[in-house]
Amino acid sequence: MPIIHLIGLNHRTAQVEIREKFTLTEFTAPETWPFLCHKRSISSVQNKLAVKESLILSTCNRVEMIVVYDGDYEDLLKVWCEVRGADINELRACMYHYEDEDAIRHLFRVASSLDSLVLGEPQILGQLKAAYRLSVQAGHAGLLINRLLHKAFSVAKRVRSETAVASSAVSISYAAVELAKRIFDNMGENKALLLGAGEMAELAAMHLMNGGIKELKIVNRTFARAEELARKIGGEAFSFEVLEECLADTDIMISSTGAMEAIIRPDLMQRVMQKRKKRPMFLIDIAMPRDIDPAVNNLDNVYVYDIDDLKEVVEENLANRKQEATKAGQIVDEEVKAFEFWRGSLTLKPTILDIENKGNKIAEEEVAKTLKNLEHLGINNAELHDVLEKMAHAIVKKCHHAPLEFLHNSYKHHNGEQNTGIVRNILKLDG
Amino acid sequence: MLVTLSLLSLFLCALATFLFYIGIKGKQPASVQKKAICCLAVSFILLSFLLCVGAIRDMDIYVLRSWYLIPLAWSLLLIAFIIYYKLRYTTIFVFVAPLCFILLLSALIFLHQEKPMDNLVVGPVLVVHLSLVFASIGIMGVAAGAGCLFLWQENLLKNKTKLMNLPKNIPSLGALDKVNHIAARFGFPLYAIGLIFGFIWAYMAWGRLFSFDPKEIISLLILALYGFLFYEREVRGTNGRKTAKLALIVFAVAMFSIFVVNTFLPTHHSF
Repeated sequence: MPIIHLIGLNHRTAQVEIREKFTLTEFTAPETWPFLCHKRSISSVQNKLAVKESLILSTCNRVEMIVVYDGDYEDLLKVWCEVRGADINELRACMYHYEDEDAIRHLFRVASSLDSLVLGEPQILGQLKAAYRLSVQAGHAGLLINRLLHKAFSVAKRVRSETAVASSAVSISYAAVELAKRIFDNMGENKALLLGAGEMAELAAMHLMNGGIKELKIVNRTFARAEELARKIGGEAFSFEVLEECLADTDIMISSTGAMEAIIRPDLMQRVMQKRKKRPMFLIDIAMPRDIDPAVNNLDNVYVYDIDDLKEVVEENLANRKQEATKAGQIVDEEVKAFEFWRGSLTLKPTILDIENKGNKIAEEEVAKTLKNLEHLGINNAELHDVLEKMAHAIVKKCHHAPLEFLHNSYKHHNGEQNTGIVRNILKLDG
Repeated sequence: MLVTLSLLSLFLCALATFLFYIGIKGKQPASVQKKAICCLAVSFILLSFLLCVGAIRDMDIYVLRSWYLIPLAWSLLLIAFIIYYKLRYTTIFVFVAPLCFILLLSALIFLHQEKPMDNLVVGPVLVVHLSLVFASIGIMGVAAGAGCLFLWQENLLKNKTKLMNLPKNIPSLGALDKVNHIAARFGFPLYAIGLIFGFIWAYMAWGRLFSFDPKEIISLLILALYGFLFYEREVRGTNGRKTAKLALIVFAVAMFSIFVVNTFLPTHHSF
């Protein structure tokens, strides 16, 4: 049976600086998947990869690959580091690797936001759905990935409806607004700017609007998207070319672009602060990789918080959510067992088919032999033929009932593969 | 009776300081802070009464070092209550309460050192000089307190302190900077005019506007620093860390002038 590998790193295992090096954001679109396509292999990798199915999940807090692959996961690490131009030892130091049942459990926990930076946050499910959609479009989702992801979505739904793990309103956007209140006297006098039009930034901007912000500007490379978001949450769209001018008239900025390097640098901010006569600015960077150069925080009256800095807010409600997370964990365990049973039955099905085919063949052969003998005795009756055939098949079915039941029970108790081999030997299904 | 009133005010300032500390650390800061503010309010009333009685009783005022410090403590409380009334910043008292305590304690320590003043020079000029100087130093004291809180909170934010570990009961950076702005805008002109009246009074008392007295020199230094703060805020629009530090420096020099120059250096102001 092919192995389901899950390799990745997240906010717990790697700091934001490391996650930036291994992000695969630009590789999640189908046309940019040169390295995990199971139709081709990478000549630069010593062992040719024959990946059966794959999915990449790359967000601000985690980068993970789910790969159905018969080989060693080290091959996947090599390819990952090759495309990112990064050091494999650095990756090994902060990554995790799961196989089969553990991989399934991890995925279900991720989908249910039990592994999220903010326990119970809803964004991860949308991100996972988007990743699955891209995998399907690229033709990289097969039987296992399809079933696995659909099951993950239903597990997430079950966790949200049967537990209160997502009940609290604590989130990164909430933390950003609370920090802004520590800096500014009156939020109603402040102007905000949204750089990029991502979902997280949209949430934070909505919190700011609810907090009474005076004005919201939206700047995005794609002006149409900025306009769409401006219409949705209330604000004014600006093109990327006027970013500096917009910054000079902004007190709070939330940045969430997909840029691969920093857009907001110290030299730009120095010019902006001069124009603002050094009135304070609060910059929130929730992009991965970061949009704001960390050195910007050293400037006077500029306060920069990135995604790792904001994560501490989750601790306020974590205790409550942790209780619910235990219940959610039990749901996940149940569903993992059910999925493994189904997966095991994939191996079982060929054996069942072989048993049935062999049984039918024996029945037909014996019926033919008996009818021939009856012909010699002068008995040739169509009705008799039907009766004999039915009897033969019924006998075969009854004989095979016990071994089939035995195999089904074996998969429930996790020794299905071993017992399948025994049954195949006993019934001589392999010749 | 004057000593009793001073002692009571001292005790109330000490109690207020303790309650503010409890309020910051404890779980019910609002109620504890209210009690502390009440203590300071009673202390202010007692000091007002003390100053009125002292002025009425001693028409030719015995200018004691203690009297120098008591009006300063009273001015500090007055400015703090005005800012509290206008802006509702209770945390400003966290700095004002202990400072008043120190001033009143010093006043009581120096109580025995009396030196009568020449009646000729006592009059409206002196009153205006003292009132304006005390008011402006009181304003700067409050600004220095706000500056301390600003620098502390700013340091926490710059170092990415966890939201849950940020102090809950102090005003935002913007609010603290506003106090600094108000102090510079009103404090500097008051101090400048107060100083002018001081030089006029010096001419009336000693026949010279300026006599290179250490107190006069340091007063001019304070004027320069205060003026620099005023210029930075009003003309250049500077705000934040720089002006918070300037406020602290101005107030520190003013305290040096009161406690060190008056006490240890040979000056006309060795009361």
